[in-house]
Amino acid sequence: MIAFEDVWVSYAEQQVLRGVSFTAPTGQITALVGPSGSGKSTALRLVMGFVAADRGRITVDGEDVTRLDERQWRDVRRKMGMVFQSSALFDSMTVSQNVGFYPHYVEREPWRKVLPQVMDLLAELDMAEAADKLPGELSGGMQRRVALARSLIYRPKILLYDEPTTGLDPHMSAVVTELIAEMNEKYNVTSLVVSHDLPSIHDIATHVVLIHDGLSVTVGTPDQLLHSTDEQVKKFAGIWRDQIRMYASELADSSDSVPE
Amino acid sequence: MAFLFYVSRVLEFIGGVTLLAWRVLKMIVRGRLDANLTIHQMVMLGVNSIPITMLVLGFGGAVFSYVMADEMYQRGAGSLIGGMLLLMLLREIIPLFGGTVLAGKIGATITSEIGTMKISEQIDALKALSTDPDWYLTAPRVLACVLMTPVVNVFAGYAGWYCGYYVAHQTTGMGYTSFTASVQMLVDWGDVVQCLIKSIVFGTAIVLTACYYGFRAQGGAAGVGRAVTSSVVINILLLYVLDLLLTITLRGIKIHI
Repeated sequence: MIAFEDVWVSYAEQQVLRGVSFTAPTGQITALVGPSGSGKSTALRLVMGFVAADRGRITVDGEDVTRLDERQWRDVRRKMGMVFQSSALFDSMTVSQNVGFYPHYVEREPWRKVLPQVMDLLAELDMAEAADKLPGELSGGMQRRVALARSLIYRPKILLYDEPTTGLDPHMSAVVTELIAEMNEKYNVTSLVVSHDLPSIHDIATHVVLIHDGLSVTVGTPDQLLHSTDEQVKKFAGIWRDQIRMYASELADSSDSVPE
Repeated sequence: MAFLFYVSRVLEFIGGVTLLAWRVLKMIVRGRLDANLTIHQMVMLGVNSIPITMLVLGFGGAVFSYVMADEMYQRGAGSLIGGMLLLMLLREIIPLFGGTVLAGKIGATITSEIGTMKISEQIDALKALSTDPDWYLTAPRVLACVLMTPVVNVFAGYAGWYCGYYVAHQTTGMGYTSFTASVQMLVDWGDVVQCLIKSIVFGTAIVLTACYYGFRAQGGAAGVGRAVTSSVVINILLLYVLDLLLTITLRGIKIHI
């Protein structure tokens, strides 16, 4: 479980998070949604220790991680994996070298032992044929899958996703979204997903937290977000409904124009 | 105000590089480095720098010899050309000219590589994978340069020496025996030790400065460009400052064998 209690963060005198409190329950997919610049990615970076909170408390699996030093963070991060918005693959390494990075360099396992594990995981994610390719040769969706494999190989308890479907076409967005749900169930991880892709969130998230203007509103399920009476949530849900309506209308138009 | 700003930047740089050096030193002393990463950097930064450094010092030795040979011959000191050339090579030309080449070549390479990783979140990805970026990126490069800068400078020194001899021979007609006759009189092992110490210090300073600016790159491609520029300029300036300090400090080291 990940818990934020009254967390405040500022960058150069600009308050980014103002007393954010929420919980990401164990084994579930929690979505952080909200307008751009509301502080969602900052919340994710706090969980990983890339940013320090000014005040408040953050716990990961019961451990207070608010004031750890970098060495202590290295131990905590062994329980966590992160898929970055840009994938952040090591561009001078092949796909298999990227995925095998943790067991080879952190756990110090010889490459001949690591490679079979890497290939098994890539096969599971349908990426085995790309093992010897460099990240620059991959599509966006493929890069996301490799980034996910790079985290999954050491079986983290927590997975963080920063805008996992940004820049992907609808088909690939659906593939990545399904993958998040599948991995969550298969490896029994706690997932925290920051996303603007509301239809995807609706499909997989069991828990939604709205962050708006540095404040948080814990909504509940995606359906509860759509029917909430909270003013901020209603405003955001309205945008979501408009998106869904627009998408449904476009879908209907395109099916009308398809010849029988 | 501008003066105070620059003073604070200088102090920030000195503090940052010192802390970085301390962390890396601890890793090296405790033997925690990855051998493969270090060997890879020894090839990339060391072996691959030999040709360009030999070229530059070859020209450096040739120019020095050309300027000196004629003047010294006219003043009846032609027999000292070889010894003077080797003395200048060991004391200044090899460490300083070689260091300047390395500051441009490997300093720029390191800063641009680490800077690009910084802006593309690869440094964060390393941290997310419980990996200390200094362990993975900085320390192997520092150890590689400590070990390889003297090696590079040996090759470069030979290039400077033989090119210097060639020019002296073409200018004055002197043979190799005459050229080397004054070496024993003017040069001793203390000069070799000075050259070695300067090479190691300069190599270390170049890598630490390059890594320092790489980790601080921000603002996209332009930011990486600014970081590389700062790295190269500060490195070259630093080399000349260190050269002065070391020359004064090491003056008087004489080892006769």
